[in-house]
Amino acid sequence: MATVDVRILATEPEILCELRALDKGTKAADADLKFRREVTDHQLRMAIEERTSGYRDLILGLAFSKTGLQGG
Amino acid sequence: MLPWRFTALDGNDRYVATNLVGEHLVLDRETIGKFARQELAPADPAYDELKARHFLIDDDTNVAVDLLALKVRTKLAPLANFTALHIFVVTLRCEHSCPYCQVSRANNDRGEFDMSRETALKSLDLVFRSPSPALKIEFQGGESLLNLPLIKLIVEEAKRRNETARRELAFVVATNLAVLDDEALTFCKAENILVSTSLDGPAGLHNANRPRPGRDSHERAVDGIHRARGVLGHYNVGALMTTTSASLNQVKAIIDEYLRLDFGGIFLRPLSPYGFAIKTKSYAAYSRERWLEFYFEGLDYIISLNRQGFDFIEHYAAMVLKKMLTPLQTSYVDLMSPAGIGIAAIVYNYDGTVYASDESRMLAEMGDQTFALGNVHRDSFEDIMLGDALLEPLTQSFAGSVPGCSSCAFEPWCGADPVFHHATQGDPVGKKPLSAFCTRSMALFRGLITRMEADDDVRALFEKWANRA
Repeated sequence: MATVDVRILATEPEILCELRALDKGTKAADADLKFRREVTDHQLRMAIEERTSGYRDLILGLAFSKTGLQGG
Repeated sequence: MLPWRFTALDGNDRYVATNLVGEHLVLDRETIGKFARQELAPADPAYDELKARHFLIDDDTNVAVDLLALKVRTKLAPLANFTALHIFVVTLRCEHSCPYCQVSRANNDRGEFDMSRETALKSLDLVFRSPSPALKIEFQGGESLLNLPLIKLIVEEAKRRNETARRELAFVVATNLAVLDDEALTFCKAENILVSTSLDGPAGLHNANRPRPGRDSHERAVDGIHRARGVLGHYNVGALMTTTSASLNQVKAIIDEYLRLDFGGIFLRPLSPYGFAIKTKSYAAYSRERWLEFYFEGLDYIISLNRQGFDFIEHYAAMVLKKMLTPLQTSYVDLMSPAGIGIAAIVYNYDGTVYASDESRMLAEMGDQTFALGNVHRDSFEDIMLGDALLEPLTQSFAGSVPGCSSCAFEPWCGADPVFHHATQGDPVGKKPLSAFCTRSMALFRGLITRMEADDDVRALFEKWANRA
């Protein structure tokens, strides 16, 4: 369940991310750490995906190659 | 230099290096450093080993890349067969009330939890859309034998359809054997159906784990194993155990029970984070580290039994070793990437809902329908197999494309398991440093390599297991 709401204000040249706790039990420092960790993780995911998507798609394509579903 | 990865093996400055297809070498820190910097001299003994296992090519080699490509094709070829295992949940009814049950059960007198004839026939339509040359239909529950009439119908109809489909068709009944009767046995014999049952260990442990009226689950299971073997043949009856916190101090007794009942091996399974296992806190009752202690104590005991002349296998290790030591893949869904969900195994629930895996169904019983792919009455094969519920987790979790896995030396042996990561982290990819699946798998790989490196007899045993798995 979500514990933090994120409001993103994109006003060049900066992007401001405002975290708002959804329950009283969430500490600001914990929310900040968790948010930074998520952003880093997703940046890494995107970078690796960009590098490896050709390989991945080739193998996934092989998995579906005899199903008759290609192009669907 | 060809594509390769490495990771630390232990605290003795030893490293494991793997190539593109998972062939591995254990090298010391100095050697691996030289190789990584491309400073390894051809006269170095490690050079020839690296060359022989396709970590490098040089001017003397003109077939290495072709050989490596052939091995890659061999490893990947089974993927194109698509879904081979089709699980039919013929009823949710069960007369057991196991607290760890990963498929939340209903009382055994509630017929609305039975699969209907119409649902079974629609499910068979989907089974035969899979291009797999081998189709295995497994009947699960609840207690599957409580709906024997439907099992009979499905077997008869599948065989009828197979007269034109011409697949290699196999059937498995998963049953606790408590309600096994002569009618079921005669039917299984006539139709060449295998039986898979649950055996958690000696009577005290098994009965504590698996309560039923009369508190005689173990007695009934053992009696059923003997009767089923008598009719179907010894090797047509298999057993699986579930690990609970009560099992952790009894691994030798559990293995001894399998030996006593003349099974050729055991699958020392971790508990899954699904169903009643979570509701009753069973999953949290022991840590991943404690399970690993349990596992390796059991594995070492099995190795010692083999030294004494018992031909006994640990199936989890055998499946991993098959990936580590042969050019072949295992059909064990948890250790597949792309994940095996939908494309290796699929579940037709009693109500017609199609799930991506058995674990997906367990998750759904907890109220999470993330991996519900559709319904046999409403959706086509195309809707189910090309829907976002399947393609997104398959794509996102592909181990070669996710942080922590894409650079991991163990990736060729490991799996993606998006359902586990969704269940435990709310995300099909998950953060691997926080993943119990990752911790367990890495420890398993290291533990197996360490044992092979330390003892040539263990290596020979592991090679035998790898070729039998």
